[in-house]
Amino acid sequence: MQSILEVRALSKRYSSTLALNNVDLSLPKGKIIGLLGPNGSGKTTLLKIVAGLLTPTSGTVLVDNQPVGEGTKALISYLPECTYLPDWMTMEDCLDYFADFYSDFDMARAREMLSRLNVPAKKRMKQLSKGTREKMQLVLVMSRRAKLYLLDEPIGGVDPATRDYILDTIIGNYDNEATILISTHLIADVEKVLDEFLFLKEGVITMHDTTDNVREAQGKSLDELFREVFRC
Amino acid sequence: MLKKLMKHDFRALSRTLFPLQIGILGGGLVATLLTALTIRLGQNTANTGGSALLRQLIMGVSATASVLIGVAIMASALVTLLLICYHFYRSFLANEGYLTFTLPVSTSKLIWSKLLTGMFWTLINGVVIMVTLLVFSVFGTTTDSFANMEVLHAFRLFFTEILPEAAQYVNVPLMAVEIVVISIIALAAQMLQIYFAIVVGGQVAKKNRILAAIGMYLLINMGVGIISTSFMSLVAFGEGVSSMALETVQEVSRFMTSVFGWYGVLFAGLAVLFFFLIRSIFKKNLNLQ
Repeated sequence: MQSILEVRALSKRYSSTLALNNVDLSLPKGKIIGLLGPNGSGKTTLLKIVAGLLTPTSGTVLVDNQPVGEGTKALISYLPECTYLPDWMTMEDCLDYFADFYSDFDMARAREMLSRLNVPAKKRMKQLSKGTREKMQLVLVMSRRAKLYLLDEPIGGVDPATRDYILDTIIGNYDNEATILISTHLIADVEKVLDEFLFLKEGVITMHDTTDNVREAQGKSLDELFREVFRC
Repeated sequence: MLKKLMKHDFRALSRTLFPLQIGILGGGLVATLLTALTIRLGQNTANTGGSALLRQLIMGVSATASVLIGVAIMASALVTLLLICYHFYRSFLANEGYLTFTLPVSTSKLIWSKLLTGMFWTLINGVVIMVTLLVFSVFGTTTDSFANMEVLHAFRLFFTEILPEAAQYVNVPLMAVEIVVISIIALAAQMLQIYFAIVVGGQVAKKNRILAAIGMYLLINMGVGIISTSFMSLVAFGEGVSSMALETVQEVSRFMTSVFGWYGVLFAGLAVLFFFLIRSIFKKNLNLQ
């Protein structure tokens, strides 16, 4: 099977902390994959390196056989943990921005999803609630026809109803050819949508398998396995 | 893509800088009116008693207001620069960096866009301040007529007598072009130096990044000062200052033209250096936290 992401011997050190330790990874195309691990396990660091926001200490990362750079950024749709849209922008400004820079941006789809969110077109980002801004970011990111989606904690810190909205948005806009890598520690909420998962512990990938295997071979839910593996 | 980047950078900066420039022009007009009023009231010394007290009060308020507005207009240059720098900081080193650095655009274009839009607004600010000062000096400093004819006369004198006189010794159009080009290069070098300080400040400090950027700017400025002085000393000696050959006006003007040219080389070198240093940090050491 063709892979969309190849990571070889990847390490990242922040002064005395080794955030990623010699990570090897190959992700197939057309799958929803959970990047699962407790806080501080290196999930965000891995996603940021793939997105081109962090420089690795060593190792290589290939996205669709290209090293991380201008070319791979056109293939990746990245949702960070924080809200990153400029405060002064209105919804229209944001749509214009994404349409200008991403040739795969589906404006009609974005407008349709935003109309369901009832985001006032003239209000600036700073006038919207944090929750609405996060949903708007998700809509913008998922309105791209990207090859690889990197979603960093998209359901962290939101209420159950919003969680459902977010997961529905992700699944509803997912192209079968694309791969989605979702980082989270809220396993129970996402496991129903995952094809595969990665367990990341202290910067090391300790397990990479399909969710079906866990259920069938081990007779456990992913959430149960996670609690077992990461028990304190 | 550079055009699109500039479009969005221009839009972001215009939001604050356009009203600021309008404010400068408006403030300039108010200061002009108040100063004209102060001068006229000051001239009218015939009245005494209560009206004189009122006149003095109006004069005091007008004079104070016009001085304050004048100071605010001059300070607007600093405010403009700070807003441009803050836009750079937010776009690259704050949360917006997640958006900026994930765009499918080369690092060079990201820097070019910030540089060109920053330079554009700095130049606009310069023009606005000059126009404001011109309006002030022509209409705000006269005692007996609508416009100050002395100022207008001085302008006419500059173009009809001083420039033709200077043209006998120097190539005025060439020198004018040289000054404009060097000013633009110097502006680019200065802007990139500030951007570089912001980037390095962001690299060395996790907290208080703006403070770190100011500290870095002062340090870098010292280094630039040493380089500039050394370079221009070498140029001056090379150009014949040491042999004391600058005796005629022609020799001095030739020396000046040459020195301006070397300043251009120096500023261009600094601009290129800072541009590539910023690019190198963004490409090889980007660590967006």
